[in-house]
Order: sequence, then C-alpha cells, then structure tokens
Amino acid sequence: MILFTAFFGFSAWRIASSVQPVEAEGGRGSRYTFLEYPETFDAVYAVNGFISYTFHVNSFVFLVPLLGLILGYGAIVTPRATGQLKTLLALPCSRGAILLGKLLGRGIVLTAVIGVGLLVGWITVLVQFETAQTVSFVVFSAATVGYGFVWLSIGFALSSLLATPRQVAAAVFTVFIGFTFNWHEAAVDALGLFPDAYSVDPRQAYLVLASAPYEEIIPKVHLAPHEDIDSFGITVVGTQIADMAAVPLHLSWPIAVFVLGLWILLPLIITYNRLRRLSLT
Amino acid sequence: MTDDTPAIEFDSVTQTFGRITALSNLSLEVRSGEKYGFLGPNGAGKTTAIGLLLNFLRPTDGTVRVFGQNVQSNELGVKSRTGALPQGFTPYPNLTGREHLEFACSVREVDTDPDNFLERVGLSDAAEQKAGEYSQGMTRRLGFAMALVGEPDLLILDEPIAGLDPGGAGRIRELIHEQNERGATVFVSSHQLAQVETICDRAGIISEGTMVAEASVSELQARIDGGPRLAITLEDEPTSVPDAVMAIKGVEDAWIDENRMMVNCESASVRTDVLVAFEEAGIEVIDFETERASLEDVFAAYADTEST
Repeated sequence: MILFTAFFGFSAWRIASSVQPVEAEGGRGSRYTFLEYPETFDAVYAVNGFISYTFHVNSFVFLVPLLGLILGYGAIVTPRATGQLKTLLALPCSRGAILLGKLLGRGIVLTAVIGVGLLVGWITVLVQFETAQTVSFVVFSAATVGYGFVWLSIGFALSSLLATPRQVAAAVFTVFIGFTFNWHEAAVDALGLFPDAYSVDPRQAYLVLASAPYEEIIPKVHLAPHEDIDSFGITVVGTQIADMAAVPLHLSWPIAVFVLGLWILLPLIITYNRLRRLSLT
Repeated sequence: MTDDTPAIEFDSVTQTFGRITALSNLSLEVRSGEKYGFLGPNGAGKTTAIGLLLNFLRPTDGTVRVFGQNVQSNELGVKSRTGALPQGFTPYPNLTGREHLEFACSVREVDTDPDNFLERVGLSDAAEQKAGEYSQGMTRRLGFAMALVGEPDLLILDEPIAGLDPGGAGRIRELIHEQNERGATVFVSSHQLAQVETICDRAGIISEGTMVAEASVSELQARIDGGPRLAITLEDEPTSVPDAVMAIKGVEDAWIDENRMMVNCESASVRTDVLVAFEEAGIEVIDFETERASLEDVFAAYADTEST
C-alpha cells in the first residue's frame, strides 16, 4: 500500500506537470470536449488530465478502481478462509456492524491513499498554473473518493459472493480488465442503448462529476479508452460543438451523484445479504 | 422463560451440504446448568451441530434454540448469553493477547480488566505478545479466555482440550468446573471419551449425524468398564492364539497384534483367568496392560444393544 500511495502521488505529479492548455477556440481531449478557451489560465486542464486515459497507468480512472478492488477484495473472503470471521461471530457482533467496521477501516485507507495523490496533484497544480479554483478541486476530490468507494464496494460484493480468495482474485481481475477494455461499452452498443445507457456506468458518472464545476468543459458522452490511448490528440473543433453543451438530464451531475451512490450502495446491500446467509463450515 | 427452559434444544434438525448429510433428524436437549459432553468420532457432525448453535450454519430442516430463543432469528440475543470456542479458533495475528481480550470486553460491554482473563488461562506472560506468535495450545487458551468474557450463561466449547499440554488441559478443566459452579451451562464436544469423562455429567454420542446414545457419564463408564481389552506381551513372539484362552468363559475375542496378544474380555474379572491360562499353558507373560474401550468400541456396544 505504501508503494501504491507513492505511485499515486507520482502519477498526480506527472499529470499535473505535463498538461498544457489548449491554445485555440475549442478542443477535444481524451475524455472531454473543450467548448472554449478559458478566460483565466487556470488548472482546469490539469484537473481533468487526472482522469484522462492519455496518461495510461497514471490515470486516476485506471488507478482508483485498482486501489478500491485491491482494498475490497479480501474483506469477507479472507477472514472467512482463515476462520477469523468465526472468531468475530462467536461474539455478540452484528453482521451489519462487522460490515460497517470493514467499510470504515478500508475506506479510511482508501481515502488516505487517494488523499495523498490529490494533495500532490493540488500542490503541482498550484505551482504549474497561475490560478487554481479551490472549490472545483474539492468537488473533484470528493468525486474521486466517491469513485474509489464504488470500487471498494464492488470489491466487497465480489469478496462475499465467492468462496475462496483465488476465486475472488479471478473475479476482480476479470472485472478490472472488463472495465479497462470497455466491455460495458460493447454491451451497451450491442443492445442499441448508445449513448443513454452510459449514464449508469460509474466511470461516466465520475467524469460528469469531475467536470461539473467547469462550464467550459463537458464530458464526452461515450468512453473508448483503448481507442483514445492509440489516437489521442488535441484537435481544434470550433465552437459549433457548443450545441452539445445542452447536456441531457441523464448525463447531468445530480444523476451522476445518484449513479455513484447506487454503485456504492447496491454492492454493499449484496454483501450484507451474503454475510447474513453465509455458511461457515 | 422459566427455569425449565432447556439451555440447548435441537428439534429434529437436519443439515445437508449438497449430497452429504451432516446431521440427520438430530434431537437433543441440554438442561440449564448441565455439563453436557457431545461425543463422536471426527466427521460425526459435532462441529456442524456447534455451527448451528452459533448460527454459522442454517439448518436445512428443524429448529435450534438456545434458552428458548431461535438461534437464527435472535442471533444477538443468543450470543450475548453465550461464550464460544469454535473449532479452529483463529486470532488476529497482529493483535496481542491483551488486545483480543480488550476487544471481547468492549463487544460485550464488560468493564473487567482483560488481564484477569489472560491470567485465568495462564497467558499473563504472553499478554503483550502478538497472537500470531502463539503456539497452538496458547491460541486455544486465548480463544477460551475470550469465551469467558461477560460470564456467559452458556459455554459452547468445540474440543477445548485438544492440542493442550497436560498442565493447560488441567487448567481448562478447572475453569470449566468453576464456570459451571457459578451457574453456566457447559456444552463440550470431543472425540475423546477420556476428556468428556473428566468434564461432563451427561453425554450424547453422535455418529454419522445421528444420535446413537445419551447417558450419564457414569453409565457410559460402567458399560466400558464391563469390557476391558488386555494387551499382553509374551516372552516369545506369539504365533497363534492358545485354545485354552479362547475356551475361557468371558473371553469374547483374541488375536495377535504385532508382537502382542490382544484379548477382549466381557468383564474385568475375566482378566485373571486369561493370565492364569497363559501360565498354565507354559507361555511366559512379561507384561500386560488393560486398555479401555475406545469411543468406537462404545459406539459398537450401543449399536449391538440396539440391534438385539
């Protein structure tokens, strides 16, 4: 976890110190469409650079799920396999309290690790740019921690659904690779639900929230990180795309908050129900 | 709840795991204040039954009650009155013995000094040591100390003496008696008759998920004492069982086991006749010992009783 924290901090520094603003009327990044050149030369590009796949393994969109899943995957299956769950349940400990305790403990570690990355990022942003919007960065930070809890929560659910650590590890790997290579997008496209169904993707919700404080930026409505990695470039597209600024309700920030909340809550409900019915032999 | 409410009640409980039936229509009642031994060989279903008592498992059929409360629907109510040492008790390797007890005290909202419990199980010197460094015996004693926190009305102990040295075992036995004297009901599982004899008043014998017999410990002893097994070491290695031995009234069976002669007797009084028979046949006896019947023999004895 110390190495992970160091890498997170390094990633934030690398991104914030590498990002250059678009010197044009409008532009397109890997995750966002820039509608116009910001009046003030602020940190908006760096903030949104943190979640650009352009930075590959340094991207928060890549690192946060990895961190959440790593912290979450052992929560139930490890004490179940070692017998420590029996030690706890032999005492008058409610299963809800056990889940809450694990969520708090691992959530604190998650927040601390992400916090270090965000802090390094913020310091780099301050050094790199003339102005930086504190409130916007706080919103971005909250969205990032929330996004981390989504993956922690998914890790908990996988941990409770499968019987052995090896099975859970395989499931975590599959889920992570699945999201990296966008199986979600493939499924949504195949079902003919483009682009509306993207709103239920936790990554999309995160992107919407991260850009919410900036009027001059809207998130792209679809995700294609593997394509972006190959073909990233800043292209001037002009303000005609401002028409896209009329963001539909299902891609607005309140819905994004709701979607992230659901992604945190539903896996936890699954975990709790499994924990209640778990057979400890 | 009246005083007549049993401490433990299994009401026609069946537990299956896929195709395997671990418990089959088990009914069992342990009275409040009793020291009950739950005996059976490994794989008989003892740990499954304890798993049901602690709500680690949910019965496929039937009901398990503790002090009249359904264990499944009143898990916390039951556990607040129960102290348990489950099989394979696993501590947190990075926490010290004292921290384990502090945790147990805080969960049970007890003010007692955690060191008090460690002292009772002989772990005072290891209070600051991380539990991951404990030996198997120390780990069991730590688990036992945690079960004592809060003076529970019922102690459920799965093989509490297993893996302990004689001193540790004696200490645990003493503590179990102490707990019983203050009013706690004790439910002890074991695959060793000798352990249950020294701890319990009454025992149930379980085999292949079914209750084979229930009796007071003295009744069990009487049944076993009725049929000792003689293991006789002869000067010359035996090649066959002398006819004179087989002819003795009261000898059930005799055979050669490695270099010793084994004789199953109906009762203790037959032993002298056997030794005399060897002497009269001119076979010198160097040594002999009387082995008590094993638990398996007790099962067999009960099974025979039932079939006749």
